Formats: sequence, C-alpha cells, structure tokens
Amino acid sequence: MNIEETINEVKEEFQEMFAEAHDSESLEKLRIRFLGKNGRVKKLYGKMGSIPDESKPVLGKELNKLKQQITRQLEVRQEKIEEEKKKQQLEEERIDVTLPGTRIKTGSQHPLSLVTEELEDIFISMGFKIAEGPEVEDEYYNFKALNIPEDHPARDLQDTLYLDDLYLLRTHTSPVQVRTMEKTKPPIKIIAPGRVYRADELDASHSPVFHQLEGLVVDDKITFGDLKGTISIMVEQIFGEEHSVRFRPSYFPFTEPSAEVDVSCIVCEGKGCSLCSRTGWLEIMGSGMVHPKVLSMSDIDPRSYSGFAFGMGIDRIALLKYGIDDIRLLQENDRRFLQQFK
Amino acid sequence: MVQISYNWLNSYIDIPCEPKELKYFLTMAGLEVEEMFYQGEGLDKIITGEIIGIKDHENADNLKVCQVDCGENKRQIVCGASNIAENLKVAVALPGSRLPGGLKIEETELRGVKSSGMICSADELGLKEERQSGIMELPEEVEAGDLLVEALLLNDYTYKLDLTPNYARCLGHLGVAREVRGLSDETLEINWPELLPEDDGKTFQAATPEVEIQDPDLCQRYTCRLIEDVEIKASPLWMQRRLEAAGIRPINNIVDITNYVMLEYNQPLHAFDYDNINGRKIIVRRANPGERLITLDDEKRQLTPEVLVIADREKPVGLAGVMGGANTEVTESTGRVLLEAASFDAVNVRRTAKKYGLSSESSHRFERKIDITAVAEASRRACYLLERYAGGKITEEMVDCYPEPCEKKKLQLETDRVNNFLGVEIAGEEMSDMLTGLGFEADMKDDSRIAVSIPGFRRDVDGEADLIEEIARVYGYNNIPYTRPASAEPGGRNPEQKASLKINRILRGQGLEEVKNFSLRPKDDNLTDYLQDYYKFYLAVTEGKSRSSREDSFESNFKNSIVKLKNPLSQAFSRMRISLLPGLIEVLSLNSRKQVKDMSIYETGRVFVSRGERNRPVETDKIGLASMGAAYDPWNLSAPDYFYLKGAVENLLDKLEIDSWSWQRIKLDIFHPGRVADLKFKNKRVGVLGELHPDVIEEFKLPARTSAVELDKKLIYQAAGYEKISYQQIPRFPSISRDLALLISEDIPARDVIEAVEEAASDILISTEIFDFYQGEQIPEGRKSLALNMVFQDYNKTLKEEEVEKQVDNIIEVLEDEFQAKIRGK
Repeated sequence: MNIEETINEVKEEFQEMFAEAHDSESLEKLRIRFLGKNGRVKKLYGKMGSIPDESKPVLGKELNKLKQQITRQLEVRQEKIEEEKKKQQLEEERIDVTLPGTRIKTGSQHPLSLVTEELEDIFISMGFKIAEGPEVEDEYYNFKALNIPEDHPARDLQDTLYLDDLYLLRTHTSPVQVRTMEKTKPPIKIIAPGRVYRADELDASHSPVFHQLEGLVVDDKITFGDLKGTISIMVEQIFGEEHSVRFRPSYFPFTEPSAEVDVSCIVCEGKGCSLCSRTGWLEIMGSGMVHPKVLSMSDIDPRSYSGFAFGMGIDRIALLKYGIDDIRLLQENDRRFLQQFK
Repeated sequence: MVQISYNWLNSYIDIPCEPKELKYFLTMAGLEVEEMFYQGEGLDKIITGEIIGIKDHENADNLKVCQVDCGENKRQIVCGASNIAENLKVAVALPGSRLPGGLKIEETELRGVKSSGMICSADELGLKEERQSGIMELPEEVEAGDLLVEALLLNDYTYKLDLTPNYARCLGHLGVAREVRGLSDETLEINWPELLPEDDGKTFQAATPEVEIQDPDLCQRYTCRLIEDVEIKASPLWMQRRLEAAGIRPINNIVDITNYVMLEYNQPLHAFDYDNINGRKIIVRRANPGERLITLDDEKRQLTPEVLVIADREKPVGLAGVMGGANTEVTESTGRVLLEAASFDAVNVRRTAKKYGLSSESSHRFERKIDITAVAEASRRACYLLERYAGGKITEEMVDCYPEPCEKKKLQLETDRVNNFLGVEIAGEEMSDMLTGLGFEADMKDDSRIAVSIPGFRRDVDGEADLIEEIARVYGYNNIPYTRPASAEPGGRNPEQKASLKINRILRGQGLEEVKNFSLRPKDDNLTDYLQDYYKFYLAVTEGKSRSSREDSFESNFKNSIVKLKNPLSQAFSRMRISLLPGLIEVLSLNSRKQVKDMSIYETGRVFVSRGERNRPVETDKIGLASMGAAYDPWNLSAPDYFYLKGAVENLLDKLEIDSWSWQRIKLDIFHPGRVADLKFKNKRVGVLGELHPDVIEEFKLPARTSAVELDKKLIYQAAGYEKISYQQIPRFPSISRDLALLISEDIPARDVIEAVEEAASDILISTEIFDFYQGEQIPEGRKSLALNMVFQDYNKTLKEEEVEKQVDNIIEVLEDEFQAKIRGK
C-alpha cells in the first residue's frame, strides 16, 4: 500500500470517527489518536523518508493539508460544544426575577421636622438666615419687649406656663425677634423655628407643647407690600400655587398694622367644608409691620427703619399639608404614622 | 366675645349688604365673625294662632280638643298641655311642616279625634333649652295667622364676634355702625339713638347723692342720676329680643335698659335701688380691710384695699366696674333708681375680676377701656329709655364728677410715611377722608401732613402706626400690591445648623425613625428612680466635671434638679424632661404593645436642668437613640440592639470626621450593669450607650435586650471635622494584610487589645480590626478568642514581607507579655 492510499485511509478514518464525536472528551481522544505524539498523522510523517524524492513535495503538501484539516475540524467542533455548554449554564441559572429585593432599613423623618426643613429652605431661598433662642424665657423677652404690658387683655390671648416668678416657658417664638434685634443691626432677615408652650389641655386640636416659625425682616424702606409678597411665596411653595392667600386686619401687640393670613381651604378650595368651618379659608399665620415701640425698645430707630414679622404654627401647617386630623398623632410616635413620612 | 344683631345694627345704619355678606364684610374689617346664625332657624313655617274653643277629648282624660284660629282658617288640634286657655295666643306647626328638632307634623288622629297641626312648647321650637311644662304662651298683641318669626321678631341674624383687644369699641352696636360707615364704599350716615335732652329745666340736686372720688386714678369719671317713680316690669318685646340676640338674658325693664345701652354705647351702666343707699352719698374708694360684700351673684366677697368699691356712707354697695352688690339690687319693690355711668381704671378692674374669678360684661369692657367722653351721653340714653319704658320721672340734674376731663389726643400724620410704610400711593385728601369716615377729625395741614384728632372711642390709637393701620384697613389689605424685600446678604444655615441636618440624615440612613416627644413630663415618672444617678452623669456631660468630685451633693440634689412648672394644667405635664431616654422608652413601649417587633428610633431635642428657683435652667440639646428587636447579633452575645446602636453611633462619629473617641465601661441604674458604656472624646464625656436594665424592660413590656443611647449634640458638633476634609492621595503601593488569632483572658476589653497592637506597631500599621470573637467549645474556661485583621501600608514604597513579619512578631511579643495571650496556630 502506497503512502498516498494511506493518507486517504487516515483521512477517511478521521472523518468516520469525527462524525461520532460530540463531546469534549471524544474530541480530545480524536486529537490524541490523530495528532498526538504517536498519532496517525505523526506516523505518516515518519514514513515520508521511505518515499521517492520526486513525490515528496506533492505528498508532503497532502499530509500538511490533512493535519490542518483535522486540527481545524476539531477546533471548530470544540468551540461549538463550549458555546452550547455556556448557553445551557445560563439557561439553568434562570431565577424568579419577581422575588422581593433586599431592603435595607432606611429610617423616616418626623412630619414636624420634615415641614420645618421645607419651610426653612423656602425662606433661605429668599435670603433668610436661621436664628435660635432659649425655650425658657423671662417676662421681658416674652412679653414686655414685645409691647405686651402686664395687666393687658392681650395677655389673655396666651395662657402662660410659669416656672417661678421670674421664668416662664415661652408662649411664642417672638422673643427670638427681640434677641436678634438686640444683637444685630439692620438689615435683619431671619426666621426662628422652635418649640413653644401654652397652658392648653391636650385634645385633637390643642397641645401644651407645639412649634412655631417666626420671621423678622428689618431694613430701611420695608413695606407692608414686602410682607405680603414674602408670605404669599411661602404659601405657594408649601401648599402649591393653586392656593390663594388673603390678608385681613387683626391684632398683635408687637405689630401694627397687623394681619391674619388665610389660605384658601386645601380640602374644598374655597367652597366651604367642615375643615374651614364653611368659610372657604384657613387661618395659617399672624403677621404685621413691627410695632415702632418694639423697634425702639431694641434700640432700632423707627424713623429710619421699618420691618415686618410673622409667625405660624408648624404643627398646624403639618396637619393641613398632610391632612392629619388630630394633633396628638404628632407626639404619639405610632410607627404606622411615622412611616408615612419619607 | 360679643354678639351683634343684624336688625339692631340696621336700625342705626343702612347696612349696605345682605346678612350673609355682612359676615364677610365684618371679617375683612378685622372683626372676625366666629359664627353667624339665623334667630328663627327652622321656624319659618310655624305660625301663630289663637285658641278660640276648648272641649274635652271623648276618649282621653288628659287630652283636650282645641279650636284654633290660624288667621285664614280654623283648625282642630288635639293638645295635652295643662296651660291651654281660651283666647291664648300660641305657636302652631301646620301639617307638612317640620320642627327644628326634625319632627314632621302630619294630619293625624289622636285616639279617634282628628288633629290637624300641633300647638308647640318653647323647647319644641328650639327657643328654650330645658324642657317646658306647657305650651309657649305668646304675647297678646300677636295677630293670629302671622308667621311666628315675625311675631316674635326672630327674623334676625346674629354674628358672634371674636374681637381682639384693640377692637373694644365694637363691643357696642354703635361702634360696629361706625366701622360699617368707615369701611363701606357707599356714603352712609348713622341714625344716632334718641337721648334725654340736655339738662334743661332740671333742678338742683335735692335728693341726688353727693359723689366723692377718693381714688381719682382708679376712677376718672363718675356720674349718677336719680330716677323716681319707676315701675318694674318686663321690658318691651323688641328690647328683650335684641338682648337675646346679643346673648343676654332679659330680666326686668331697668336691668334690660342698662344692658341695652351698654350694647349700644359699649358703656357699662349700673342701677342701684336708691332707697337702700344710705346717707345721700356715693363714695368711690378702696375697700377697707375686713369689709365684705355680697355681689349680685349671691357670692360673699372678702374685700381688700386693692379693690375699688362704690360705697355709701356706711357700706360698700358694688365692686367698681365689675358687679353690683346684692344690698342695693333693683327688685320688684324698687321705686327710686340711681343710675351709675362711670369710667374705671382698666388694670384695677382686670385685677379685681381676676381676683374673684368674676369676669362680667362690665369688667370685660372696662378692661379694654371705654369712651370716657361718652359716659354722660350713654347715661342720657338710658334715662330716655327709663322714662319711656319704666315710667321713670327725672327731675334732678345728673351729677358728673370728672376731675380731669380727658384731652383729645392729637397726632400728625405724614402722608409720605404712610405710603412708604404700606407700599402704596394714596393721596393726602383720600387719607383724610378715610380717617373722617371712621370718626377721626382729620385736617389737611398741607399736601404732606394731616393733623388728626383722636376721638374718645378710639383709645386704642396711640401713634402713627395705628393710623397707618386704619388707612390700610379702609384701602383694603388685599388691594396693597405684592412686593419683596431686597436681600443684601445670602441666606442660609450656619455651620452648627448644617451639622444638625447632617446628623439627622446620617441617623436616618442607619434605619432609625425620627420621633418627637413632649418636653413636659409627668410628676411621677416610672423612670425617676432609675434616673437618680443618670443625672450625675448628665452633669458630668454638660459641665465636664468628673463624677467623683461632686458625688456627695448629687443624691440630695436630684429632685431639685428637675425643672418644675409653677402652674401646670395637669400632673401629666408638670415637669421638664431631664433626659430624652424616658420618652424614647415610652415610644418603643407603645409600639411594642401594638405588635411592632423591631423598631429603632431617634430624637433630637432639648432637656432642662434646674439651677434652683429664680435661676435660668440649663438647656441642652441632646441626641437620643433607642432600638428593640434587632436581628443581627454580630458577636453572638445576645446583644443585637446594643451593637446596632453602637455601630450607628460609630458611623455617625466617622461621618462627622471625629478623630479620637473611646468607649469605657461604666455603671448607671437605668442600664444593664454589665452592658453599658460611656462615650468619651479624649477626656470629655459625650454620652452613654447601654442595654436597658431588665427591670425597666419588664416594666415597659419591651422586648429583651432593648437598648438606648443619649449624646450631647453640642459636644458632638464641636468635635466634628467633616467641614475641613482635605483629599489624601490614594496609595500607589500595595498594602499587606495579616490575620492574627489569639486567646486571652475574657476580662481584657477588646479596646485594650487594639490599643496595645497599635502601640506595638510602627505607623505602617494603618488599620486594626477585630473580625471574630468566640467563647465556648475548645476555648478554655475564662478565656476568649479574638481574631484580628491588620493592614500594613507604606505610602512611599512597596512593603517587603520581612518588614511586615518583623512588625507582626513585635505585636505578638507585646500581646504575650501584656495579656499573656496565646497566639493560635503558632
């Protein structure tokens, strides 16, 4: 049998066996059988010495072709098998993509601090700074410096909790106005959020402990129009632009003119419902031009400067904004309540 | 609080709007209408009738069959009331109508007799609250067939005004009429009430008492007038109805007239039975010590010299400006009346009313100052009515003791200042008209100045700002344009306020829910006992003093250190909180009782410590944390909440770039004795972390192992360095990590081990962490196994293995020496 025939035989034998080889193992066996150290192709090369020289180039070429073909066929099939395997693995790794995700506890913010922060940010955007003051005050800062004399009916507007005959729990955040004016010269533009106290029994709409946000602007040429503009922006931002605001005459000893600020009812939009006692309006804050006497008492000349001040109940704003119907919820800290604020 | 009647007001001024619009008008004028109601609510279908025949009911002894003339036709109505009588005028509900209570009246048969309608009692009509024994008897002059609301003058609206103190003038209808005139767009005139003419032809005061004011600063004006031959009876229906509309109960013509005039002029009046006044003299003086007076409400009042009284020669006959005395009360037998109209000091009246807990219509008005210039006019008005409706005879002059007649206050108003203040442009003339409309006398000096004279009924007006408010009111607050003040400086939070926000965010990021508790606490707190030594600890935090130096004085002082309220509303809110912990414990307890299993919370808030009475208490801001039911127990020590909170605090400190802090074992009653540590910055005590004492846990029905933290916010803020962060280059050379497991005595705190390791190594050791802790099987009794991870890093070159080995050997040597540690796997 000549070498040419042998090459063909090897070729046929490979093709026969290759047709049966469908996994990595059999492919590896084939590789060893044909291309290994003692494999069939190697052996054919060994026989090259015994053939006539003139046939060598032709046969050598044939043999190389055979080797290349086998190598290539094995490689291609191996790749294909691996690809199949990978595909199968991915198939097996299928999961229920709708199972719940891993939730990390994220905490929550109390509605009061949520609203306070929001209000602060609104006023900061209008150029206000934040001032603070003590919760224990004396007669001077809580009343006298705010033009609320002793034995005046205005004292009836607030029931005061006293510690002794000198100190009391502030009934409003307005003392911060006085403290600010004492240590700052105009221009002044501050808000003062904080906790206040009144001798009120705890019920659905009253609380002995609640929170206010006070505002004070003092400069030359501050007008009542400035007060209206500032407050209307705050109302739009906190309740939404669709709500209108109105100002009506009122009385606070430390402002003159004084104005009560109403916002159109957030439930009925002015039609009248039980929340707004059928008036269509909700009272949200007191405001006014700083009383000249208050400026004078803090050593600011009312002939050169004017200012406005306002004060609102943060708790009330929170109740209205979130539709909470009982102020006691704000201090009960029931988790089902707390978790509604994010 | 005062009630205004639409019809009454309308008798002085043509109200330019409907009853419903008046509510808005008044509110926008600054007279807030708290409530408006229709007097004849639900009575529009009720008519009046006259009983013209009564027969017995054939089947029932206690029922009668009445023939009732109802104007157009006669009706047969069965009625069981005992006071029915022929010719009696009654209120009839016709079939098809409804009573205010909702009862529908139908044509019906009662025990076989037809009854078409119902004769009503006052309570059935909602005109009396208490149940009446019989049907309502109407006045004789009522015409059968008229609508009841018209016959009884109930077709009226009442406005309940919530007046601020500066609107005291509107406590009378004439004051409200002036507001309507001033604020209406229409030109309106007031029809002033009829008065007794000025004292023409009245004689010398022969029987009228002499008046002596001993304390003119407490009584600036006192007038009185004698009215003789009065006949005490009911006042006319219209007067009774108007008083009722104003919320005042009619009594008799004399009393009703004084109240009626008070509700017109806002001038309280008082009528004495003159025959009980002794010695033809009225003395206005302070009470003598030991004097007593029984007031009209039948209460015996012990008088003191702070109280101003009206007295005759021998006894007090009234509390000035507050309430009259029973000894001179007008009764059915009264024949001569002495009518008092005066002006008393606002503060004195207020104090007297407060002293006796006796706030009257009169004291309410004097407290808010009345129009001293109108005292005599109000008196003459009452005299006119007394002559007319009580048959009174007035022959003598009024005594008017008015030592220092009140000068009208004058103010100068600069129109520029008004316009600049309000941000409007109103002409001077217009301003002048506005003020005139409200009853001021305004006089244009030139283009820019108005001289304003303040009338007596505007004692609230004190300066320029008050007049500016008046102009703003008439102009309309809502017509003033919206503008905004310029900002010279940017707004924003200061560094401490920013830090506060950051602290809150960090805590929420750890899964903590924010809570807010009252700073008022009950007197007897379940936690008070546990907080005794906590208070010492607190002082050490706030004052930076060591515990031992003040130890002795603490025990006795604890109770005094709690800030107490002098006038608490209830025991539940009578103390200021000294710590956030009780509130936090209660919140977890509440939620635990509502089936919440795991919850972690935080609060930032203020606590208070007393420094003794008449000293300002110390206010400190605290951060409190508490956790129950945490699941992950990192060291298998049954302390998941403790280590959760510890991790949260450490993360907080880390995020705030606080450098050197440490935990140290301490003891505090509120915490588990073996599970509590304090947090220190260098040597300063900042707060405490611990598992709650099992007794506390049991008492508050909390899950086992519930833990809590309290930190001083200011100290945390002061130590924070996050604002000064500067970037450190990321190391360019690789680091080397080594683990070490050691066995040591269980008494040695982990912190000591870490400190020793850090001390033993050079600064190429950049981190030391404990990653495993174990006690139990295979570990000898009394010892524990700790596994440490150490990371070595040289920022300038690649570390060699040998260098690290040398360091580790050194560390091991120190650990063996110092703690007799046995290095495992070696």
